Amino acid sequence: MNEQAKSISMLDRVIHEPGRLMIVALLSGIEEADFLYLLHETGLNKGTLSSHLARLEEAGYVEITKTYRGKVPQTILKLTHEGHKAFRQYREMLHEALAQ
Amino acid sequence: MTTQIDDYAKRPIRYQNIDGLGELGIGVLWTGFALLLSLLRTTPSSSFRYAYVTVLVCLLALSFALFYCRSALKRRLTYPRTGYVKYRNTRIAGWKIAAGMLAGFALWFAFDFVMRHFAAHSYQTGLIVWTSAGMTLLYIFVTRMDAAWRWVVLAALIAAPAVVATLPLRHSRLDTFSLWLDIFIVESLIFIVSGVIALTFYLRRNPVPEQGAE
Repeated sequence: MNEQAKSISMLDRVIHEPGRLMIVALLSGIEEADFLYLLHETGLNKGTLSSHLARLEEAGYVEITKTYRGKVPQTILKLTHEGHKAFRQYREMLHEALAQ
Repeated sequence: MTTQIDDYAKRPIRYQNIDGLGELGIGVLWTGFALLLSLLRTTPSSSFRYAYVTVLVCLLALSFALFYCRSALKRRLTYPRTGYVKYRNTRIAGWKIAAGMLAGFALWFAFDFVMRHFAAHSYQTGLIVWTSAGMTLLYIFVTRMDAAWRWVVLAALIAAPAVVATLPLRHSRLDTFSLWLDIFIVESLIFIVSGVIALTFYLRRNPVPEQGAE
């Protein structure tokens, strides 16, 4: 296996999936956002977005809080410290892999 | 691919003015400021310092009122349609705004000093040119030119000083400060119009989802 292929194979697969990568990238620059914002920005459907968020929560990258805005249920999403670290590392590794 | 990731990471910044409330707020603030200056034109020169303080206090009061109005409108219009976002380091952002305002005042006084002492004959012309350039740059910064129609607004902002200067608005215009004030009001109104257009487009394109957020 050459160096580039080796670097790519070492990428974090939880983040590497395009849908999850979009979510993590969007959450990386902000404190928190709600489900509706991610739905609007990613263009994913509710089911797909929910499953990606569940996977990210399972990996400890995203913190999900259920709350209410008035009488409307609201899901608040926040990238955890591990999530920020994993995203930073992912970008560095991807950059290195593409540079080779 | 890294560029696409960067683009996604920067989207929340563009989202700040997705509803046009940013430029609308600036337009209202500057129009209020210009109207205050217009009122103060009648104030005797002996009470100049008092007038300066009055403008500053009124401007601060208007800024706070606009800040709360903007937050209320965001909660009522934007969050139910396209979602809620809380930005990081809001305290630092607050300090940045305060630092920006202070830098603005410092630049103003520096401009005032330099022009009065070294180029007094072209003071008012310089004031018009720099104000218009500042307004144009501010518009680009706030809106990030995210729609094609904004280029028309930008052209209007650039053309406004020349157009206003040629209009026979005040036949007895004795000083260029009145001209500057007219241009400032017109450019502020352009900000408001642009904000209203952006808000209208936003509301039309983004109806409130029938069910809740999830």
